[in-house]
Amino acid sequence: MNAFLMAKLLTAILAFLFCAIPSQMSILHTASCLFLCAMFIYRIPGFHRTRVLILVPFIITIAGMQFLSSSQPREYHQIAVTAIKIFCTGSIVISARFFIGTEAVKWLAHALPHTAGIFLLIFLRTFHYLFRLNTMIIFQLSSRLNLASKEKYYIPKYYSIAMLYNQFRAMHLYRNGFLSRSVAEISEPEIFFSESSFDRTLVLLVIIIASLYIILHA
Amino acid sequence: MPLASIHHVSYIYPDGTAALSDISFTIEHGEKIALIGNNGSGKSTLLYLLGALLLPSKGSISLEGIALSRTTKSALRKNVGMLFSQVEYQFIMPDCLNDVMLSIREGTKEERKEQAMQYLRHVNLDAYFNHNPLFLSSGQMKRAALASVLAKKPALLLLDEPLASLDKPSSRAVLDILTSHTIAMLFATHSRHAVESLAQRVIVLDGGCIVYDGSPKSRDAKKHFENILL
Repeated sequence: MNAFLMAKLLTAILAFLFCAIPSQMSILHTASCLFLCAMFIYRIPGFHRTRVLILVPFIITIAGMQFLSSSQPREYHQIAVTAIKIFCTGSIVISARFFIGTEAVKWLAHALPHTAGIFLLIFLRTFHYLFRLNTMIIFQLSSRLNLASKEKYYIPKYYSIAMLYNQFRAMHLYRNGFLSRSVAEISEPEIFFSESSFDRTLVLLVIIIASLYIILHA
Repeated sequence: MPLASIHHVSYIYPDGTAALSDISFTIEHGEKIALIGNNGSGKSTLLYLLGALLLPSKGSISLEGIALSRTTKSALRKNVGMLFSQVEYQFIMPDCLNDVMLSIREGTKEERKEQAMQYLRHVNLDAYFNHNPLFLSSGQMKRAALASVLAKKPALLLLDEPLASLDKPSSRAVLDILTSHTIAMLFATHSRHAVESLAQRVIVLDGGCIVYDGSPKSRDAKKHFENILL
């Protein structure tokens, strides 16, 4: 495997852990996480950046549940930390697809045992459809509902129904498609390597920030 | 011995809807058959049964002498290539080259890569070898899926609406690819052009039953599909 591809894979994991693990977040740590997160989002090309929006309803749900279940006085700081963590880790996961590329996925699918490799490919395909479906449903709802009127309050209801139904249908179609291919094994894939100066900068930045964090806390 | 034989097959969906009732016909080696019928007449169900994705409620299906059953369905699937009407669901790998390579079972990595490139060249997509098939246009996506299916070297090719949502040049490109092969094909279609340029035989379905099975050129055949084809 290409060394730079491996470095990118480790960088994405490191950035994810940097944002996910610490339970107490200082202002400096929060700022670093948001900075890294912004760099990762910047790596997503063009309109694909809207994919990050999928995190918003997720954050609202989790933060809402945390708010309702927390005792008096409300733990606003903890709610904010959770929201930031979800946003940072979620956007790093989403942008990692563009940062690492599909090459690492192909390599990983081949390196893993057959069943796990197939599972990984199916999982990522399903995830991919979820994003396409998200865009499609948003377009559909925008064209059918008058967002300037009270109809906008129906968006969450229609969105969830459309998402669920479409996802179940997609699973059925995907099952048929996959079975008809009757893949016996994932043979060694052809990997296309690419390097960009932005990717090199991002790798360096993550290493520097993570190292500084470790040194400061040692 | 025929390549495939369908003997008194019926299929009832779990909700009780009867999709097919008492269907019988055979498919010879290299035969290209058009499957015609109104929406909901059972065309796709019949293709799913032949693709070993469903098991018949009654009757029997056999391909190359192997009878379809719960234990043989995986073996049968290996000899059948299926192109779905929504092809985007049949891609597995994230780029065209690797998706075609996945269908090729024999040879070293270099040999499989060369063969895959040949299939992509055949469908005129060699320039898109490293593209994600899901980001191609519908015509290109269909051709990419066709390359993956053909690379499997199936004994029987099942095509569900192969020309659906394609413009004229893309339809012609797909038909040219299909015409250049001698594989037995059963394709469900509503396209008159596809029937006229590809089919050697037509099977007309109505309400889950075969109402015509014969030459597409006979007057009787035209009477049956006059109101179905576009």
